[in-house]
Amino acid sequence: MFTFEKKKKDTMILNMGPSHNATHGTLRIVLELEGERIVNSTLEIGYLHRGIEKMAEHRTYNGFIPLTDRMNYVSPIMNNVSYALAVEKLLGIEVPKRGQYIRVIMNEFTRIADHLVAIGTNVVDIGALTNYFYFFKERERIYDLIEKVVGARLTTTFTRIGGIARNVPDDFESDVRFLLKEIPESIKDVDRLLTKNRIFMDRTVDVGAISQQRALEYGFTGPVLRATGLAWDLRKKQPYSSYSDFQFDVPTGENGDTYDRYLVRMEEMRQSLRIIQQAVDHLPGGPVSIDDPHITLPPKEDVYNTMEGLIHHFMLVMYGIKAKPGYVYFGTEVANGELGFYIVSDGQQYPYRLKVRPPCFAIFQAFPEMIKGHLISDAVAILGSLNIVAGELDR
Amino acid sequence: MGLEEKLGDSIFTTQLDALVNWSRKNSLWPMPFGTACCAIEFMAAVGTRFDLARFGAEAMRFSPRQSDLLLVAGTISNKMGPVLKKIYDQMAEPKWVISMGSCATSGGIFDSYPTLQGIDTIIPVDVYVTGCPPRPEALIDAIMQLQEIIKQESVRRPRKAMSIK
Amino acid sequence: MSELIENIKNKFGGKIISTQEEFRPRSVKVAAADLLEIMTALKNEEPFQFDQILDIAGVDFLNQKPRFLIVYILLSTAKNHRLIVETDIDELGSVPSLTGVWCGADWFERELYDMSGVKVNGHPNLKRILMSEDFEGHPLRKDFPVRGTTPPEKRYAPWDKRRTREY
Repeated sequence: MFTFEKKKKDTMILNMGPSHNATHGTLRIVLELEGERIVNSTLEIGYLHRGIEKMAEHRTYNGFIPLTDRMNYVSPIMNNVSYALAVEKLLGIEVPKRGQYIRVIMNEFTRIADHLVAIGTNVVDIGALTNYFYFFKERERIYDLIEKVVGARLTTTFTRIGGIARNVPDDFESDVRFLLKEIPESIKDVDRLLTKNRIFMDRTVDVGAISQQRALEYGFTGPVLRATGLAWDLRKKQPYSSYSDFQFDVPTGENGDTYDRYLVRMEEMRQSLRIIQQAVDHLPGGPVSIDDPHITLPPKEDVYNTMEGLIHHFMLVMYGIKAKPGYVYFGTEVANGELGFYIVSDGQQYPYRLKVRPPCFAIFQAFPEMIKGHLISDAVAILGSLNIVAGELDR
Repeated sequence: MGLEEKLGDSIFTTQLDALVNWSRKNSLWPMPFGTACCAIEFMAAVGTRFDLARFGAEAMRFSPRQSDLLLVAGTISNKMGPVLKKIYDQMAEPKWVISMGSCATSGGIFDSYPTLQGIDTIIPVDVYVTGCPPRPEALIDAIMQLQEIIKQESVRRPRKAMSIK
Repeated sequence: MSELIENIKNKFGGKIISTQEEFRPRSVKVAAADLLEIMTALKNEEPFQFDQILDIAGVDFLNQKPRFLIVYILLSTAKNHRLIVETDIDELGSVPSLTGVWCGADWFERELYDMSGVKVNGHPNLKRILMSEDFEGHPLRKDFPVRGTTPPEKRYAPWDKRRTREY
């Protein structure tokens, strides 16, 4: 099935995946080895292709949100927000300030949760199990908050077009402040365990380096691009959802290797905490969703007590939101890079075509170039540092 | 029988079935076949708060030859189907299967062209766990249910052979 | 008219079929034959500097002629602007490969071929990427049903009933 053009005599073909503990499920890498050194490799993806883009054409704009949860299942809220922002751009509406701030808070918590898993599993693959337990403790705490706000741990369906599903509970602010106190402790613990750790540095420094030029050509975004030294962050460069209100830095690396990616992710978590701190300090009051009966559901009291409310509820549930004919592409900065939605509307309540731009897809195609000349165990370390999420890669 | 009275506390009589099943059910070695969202909840179940080790099922083995519980967590696509079948066939008897989550059980919300509508179309399943994804508690419950199933098995009447075609 | 679109019009003149400024990001429509030349210029020349290709999407307008709209989404990190380049092709037509311009276009073009069935000329390794090699049809065409062409029960033989386990 796989043929290499220049097949050397003394090379060995090794199949890694799709069921391999370092591939996190569903990637397949066919390596051509010379001894233990990788001389060539071929990738095979698509083992988790679920037809999300096709299903979007048969669902209303709000009905697609549950499917976005299952794309990058490590940080579902960011997908919800990203998709909702794209549709809101298509409709030409903007969410009230409180809704935007709550989205930002939840977004940044999910970014932290994503980086926790990315770093945790990466170092598990390298051989350090402790950090995983330290990080999962914090992730569980973030889950607790998400569960309180949304009602589910993982598949959140947090946003609606034009706002969020419901207002946050009363003790939201105190819960957020509790997490702001607790999470830095775990980050500090892992920082002390890993950052200057000789074994960890030997395994990661100068492993899987890629130049900035190549990274841009491949379409890299997110922490992997920033590790090469380019301070490209859509939250800064093309602010959306009130990100321009907050002070934060964009961490960058120098060499674009596995160690730099780790450092960038660690620093990004601290910056996310800074953003959350500012957002919760200045959390405005008011509604969380826009008040437009053609886009958001009316309050339940109106539905039960007034004729208009009932009609609006019925019309929205039965027929959905109608967007005017046109297209939109909107990209947001999620944990892995730029997640974009290209939506074509023909005036119906369903998208005519919806194309997801997953950050992993562009990043993973550079994997053969990154692992060339390295050992098999390095390939595992590099793969973990890219944080490939198959649900997003294959859609 | 009064045998224990003669031999004292050093001898303990039991049924062979009970002994074998007791050791089998308390040392399940799962092979996590995690493909999608459920794998993240499975990771949470192994993690600090839920701690699957309390049920003797924390020794993850990523090789089907070394494991006796296949834990299918996540959507299985048609492209992945043959891989799953092969992994199941490679496992040594006795072996059990937990289908974790709606996708593995019935295709879930992915009623679409590439998705396999339930893994029980290709391999037998012992315990189904509902939820999209199930909470870690649900997975723990499934493992306890599986332990109940194992308790009722007998070494003298082995299950009908899972012949491989 | 924005500066970017104006620059593009000045540079390429008659090769731009139409421009679109109502929706974001702005888009220009070009002929498939001119695509490679225009894309090379968009990447390398000073006022554009589109150093990244973010995505390639194929939109199927089933009953229209030409049938497919191919969409290239570009981003410039140097200039901080975005552009969509569109081109129309019919069912038997093909688009040139952009792998020589951005090496990252490789997988996006394979996905375009896999999902929409659009031929890409000059691609080094044009084969299916998400679906398996023996899959028939192109899923994101409008005439492809969402549940697939083979009914689910026929995709796999149901698990053999004789092997039912007894407890």
